[in-house]
Amino acid sequence: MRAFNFRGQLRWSFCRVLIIVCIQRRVKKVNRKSQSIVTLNDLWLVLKSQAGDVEILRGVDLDVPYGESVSISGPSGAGKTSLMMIIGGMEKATRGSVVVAGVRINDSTEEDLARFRRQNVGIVFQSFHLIPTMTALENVAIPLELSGDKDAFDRARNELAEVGLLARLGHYPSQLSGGEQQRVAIARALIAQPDLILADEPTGNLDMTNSERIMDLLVQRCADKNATLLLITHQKELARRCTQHVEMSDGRIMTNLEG
Amino acid sequence: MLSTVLRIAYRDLRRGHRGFWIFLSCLALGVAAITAVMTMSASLVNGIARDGRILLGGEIAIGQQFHDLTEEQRSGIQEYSQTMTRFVEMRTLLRSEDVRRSVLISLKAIDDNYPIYGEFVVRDGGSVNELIDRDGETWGAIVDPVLVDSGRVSVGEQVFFGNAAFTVSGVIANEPDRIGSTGSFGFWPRVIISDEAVEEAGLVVEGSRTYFDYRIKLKETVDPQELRALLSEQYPHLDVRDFTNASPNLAEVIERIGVLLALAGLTTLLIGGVGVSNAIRAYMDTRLSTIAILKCVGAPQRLVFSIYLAQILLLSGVGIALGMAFGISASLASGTIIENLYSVPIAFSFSFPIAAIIITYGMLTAILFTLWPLACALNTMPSALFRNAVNAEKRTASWLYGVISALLAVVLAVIVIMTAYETRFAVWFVVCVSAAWVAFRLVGLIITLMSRKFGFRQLPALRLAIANLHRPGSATSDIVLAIGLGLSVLVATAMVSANMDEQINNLIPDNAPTFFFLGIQSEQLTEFEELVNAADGVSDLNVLPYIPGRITQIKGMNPLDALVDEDSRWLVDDDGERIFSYTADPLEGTEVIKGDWWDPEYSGPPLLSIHRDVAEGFDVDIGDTIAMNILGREITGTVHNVRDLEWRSMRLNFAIMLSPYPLSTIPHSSVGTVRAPPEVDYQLQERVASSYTNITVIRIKDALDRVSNLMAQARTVAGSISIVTILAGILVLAGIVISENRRRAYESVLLKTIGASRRYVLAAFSFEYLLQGVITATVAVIFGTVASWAVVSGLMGWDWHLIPLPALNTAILGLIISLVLGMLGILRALRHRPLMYLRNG
Repeated sequence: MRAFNFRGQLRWSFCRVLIIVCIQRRVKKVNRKSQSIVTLNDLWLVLKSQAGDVEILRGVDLDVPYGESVSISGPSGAGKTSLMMIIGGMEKATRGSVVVAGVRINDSTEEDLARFRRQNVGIVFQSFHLIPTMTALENVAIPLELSGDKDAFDRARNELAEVGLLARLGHYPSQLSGGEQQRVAIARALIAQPDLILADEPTGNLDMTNSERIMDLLVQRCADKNATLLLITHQKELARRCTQHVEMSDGRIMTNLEG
Repeated sequence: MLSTVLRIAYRDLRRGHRGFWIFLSCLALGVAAITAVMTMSASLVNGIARDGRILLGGEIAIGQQFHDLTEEQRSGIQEYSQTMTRFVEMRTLLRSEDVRRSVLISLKAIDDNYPIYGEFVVRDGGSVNELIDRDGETWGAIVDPVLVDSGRVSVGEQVFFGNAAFTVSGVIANEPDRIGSTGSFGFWPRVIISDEAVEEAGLVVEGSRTYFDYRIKLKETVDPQELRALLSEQYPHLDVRDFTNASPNLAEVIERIGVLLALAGLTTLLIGGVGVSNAIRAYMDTRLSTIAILKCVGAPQRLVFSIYLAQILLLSGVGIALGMAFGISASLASGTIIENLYSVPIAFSFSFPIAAIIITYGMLTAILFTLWPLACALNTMPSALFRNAVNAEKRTASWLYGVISALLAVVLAVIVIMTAYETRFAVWFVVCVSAAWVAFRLVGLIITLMSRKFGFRQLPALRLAIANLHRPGSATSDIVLAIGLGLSVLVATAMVSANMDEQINNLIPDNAPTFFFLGIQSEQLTEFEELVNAADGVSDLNVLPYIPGRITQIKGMNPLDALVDEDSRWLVDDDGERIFSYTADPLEGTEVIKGDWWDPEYSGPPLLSIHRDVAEGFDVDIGDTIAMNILGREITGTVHNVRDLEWRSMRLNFAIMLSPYPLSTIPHSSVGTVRAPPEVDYQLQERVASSYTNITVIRIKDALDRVSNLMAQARTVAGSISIVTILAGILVLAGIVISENRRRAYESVLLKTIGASRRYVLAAFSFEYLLQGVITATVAVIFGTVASWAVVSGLMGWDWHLIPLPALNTAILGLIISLVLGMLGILRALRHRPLMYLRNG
């Protein structure tokens, strides 16, 4: 009779688990094309102020399928940024349901939301918001570092190479131009391979030439990584590059058109 | 996780350390003050322990007052001895040919073996034994430098002790065992003569207050501590000490002063804590975007907290290390000065427990003062990045951080109390600091609230100043707290000093005696009284028996068991020896508050008249008994009356007075006082001293001058500590001024853009500092005054007087400092070019 090989059994069990997880992820990737990455139902955001309650969002319904690019436009105070903040788990809705990447985030704790953002969302701001005390490489690597990725710096180097900044790895934000800073920000948003990229006026602080380049880059990189792009912009030319257009006014979605 | 935290913390700190010098300075200053005080105190105590043999003058010291050791005792001790030296010590008058230069000194007559340990050094060189030897008609005397420096005597001059003439042959540069001197002999200026000379001078006579001392170097096989125990048991009336406890009183005084100064250092650290808090708030303000970004990219709150806590701990470590290094350097430098000036041995000591206490104080203070601003900053919402509103948010932290801060404060207070020499004083310190803290926070709040009420529309500059006091993010509260605490300490120190001065000045009431005479023998009494009364203008000669003894029982109990008030412990502690006296008639200047005086002819069993302190301290009432051992006799007296008296009147009086019988039948000496007009006092002193070599003449003014000198030294130490405290306050203010510089610069640019003149801007900002300063200084005067009252009347047990001038001067000085610093900040802000601010906003 052969002796029980504990280590062999353990190795085999581990391999089986790994195979199952891989299969599930594959199935998920295949299936998700037909699902929505963002589903908002009757979304309300009411802020309290000394002058009384202010209704920022008033019953917003929205579905964004995986892999799409959606532009959100509208006048100031329409609720665009608030909507994006709620989708990114940075603001809590007063009422309604928010499901992003299959996760209902309405009642999530701060810790859960942090994990949710780390795994699912990349954000690009109008003012770049790079950490001033860190180099371009370190700024890009930080989401991976937070996930405990040992290859964070190698991957960050590759990502910066993809956005054309291989020569600027050791530069601090103050040593980069506005366009370069935004490219670093895009690299940072995409490095963890999130399913959703939130971009709030990413070209708002850039000149026309740089705006075009950055937008090209953003759309291209999102396509490369199969990420959904949610873009707030006032520029119609930029909005036209997206597959879906949402027009907001006074806290409501006025039009929602396929591109 | 830890490596990620440390990596990001380092990366963030790498290029963002501007403004940390305030954090480091505030923390380092407080830590340095505590380190210097604790190290110095430990070094002194260790020095005394290390040099115990030198300080004591031997491995064993044996002595007694009034009588030399018997032959039997001497030969008993000789058995253990390798070398032995004998000397006698006494207080006597150094008489000069010019009687006005005569002065009470502490005389030490030594033999050829002195000193066994250490080196006796004469200022201009020479052997001590040769210098004190007879040279023709006179003996040599080596004198204390104080006597020469003050012009009382000069080298080569002839002086007199008792019946003999001496020539001042040298000046003492180092007397190795001075600190280990018995009793109060260390208090008076020292003169060294030979033991043969003292015999010839007739100073050692029956009844004279002479102390006979022996110092012994033991055979190598003898254990000093065991021998001390053996001799103490064998000869209970002898004073036996060993070198391991050469100067217990000095060690105790150093420890007490050390703890007091350490508390002052802690105050500095706490004031510095406000600066630390402000510096961290300013730093965290520059990190709000980073926090929001980290949160945006998915960093959990715990991780962000850990990153900034790690930075604070790292910086605190640097601040504490700097402070410790600075404090150690300061104690090394001052140790050298003290060692050279006062011949006190210093064995530099920086032990692990001291380091642990200092690090604990430093770290607790740093965390206590940074936790809240850190927690507030961590509440930055990532959503603020979308609207570039990171700095506009009003942030507060969870109540949990408030609770943790309160707990840290409690831990700090407990450590302060547990490590203090006197728990009661430490508790008072903690209560006072907490009360001052709360009060100054309240004052800050009241200023903020009140400033909202007033507009002063007629004076726009004043209106702007007042508005700045309550605007969001105003530093009013911090400025009031830091400057207020610093000024309070300074005012309290000034008031305590002023009270000490007044106390000393008033120590001699108008009708106080001019002289005390000690050691008047019974057979000398009549002649002595005649001699004194014969002097022109003398009055109020008052002589009372002076009989040493000890209280053995109170109300049939051990005296310590009967003690109900710790203030009266002095009556029964230590060796328990106290002085008793008797009288038939009521004493002048006392008031019988319970019972009545005994009949002047009374000769029955002993009756007692006790001071109210004895009655209250031991809960003794009329009819209770007190047993005493007086000169070997057991005497039990019954309390007949309780009296009150004013100790400071300096009239002769004793805590326990007995009816004459049986003490009047026991041989004893007496003590006397007399008033003499200034024109005859030196002659009287000379006449008594030259006629009665055994009688010690103490000129009260000379004694008080010595006390004043000691007080002046104490004031210098207290003054230097309070200066460090106010320096901490100034640093905090400087930090606030710097952290506000950008805001002020921006405001001044805007004001100038809309047409305000430079003078207007300067006036508006100056008003702000003036208003804060005046209100803070006023409250600090009140607090400092209350604190000085607590110290003077509570701790020192003296009468406290309101002396407003030093307090006001100090407050005005503090006000000027804060105004000047504020103005410097404003002028710096005014220098900025508008373009820079208007472009970047």
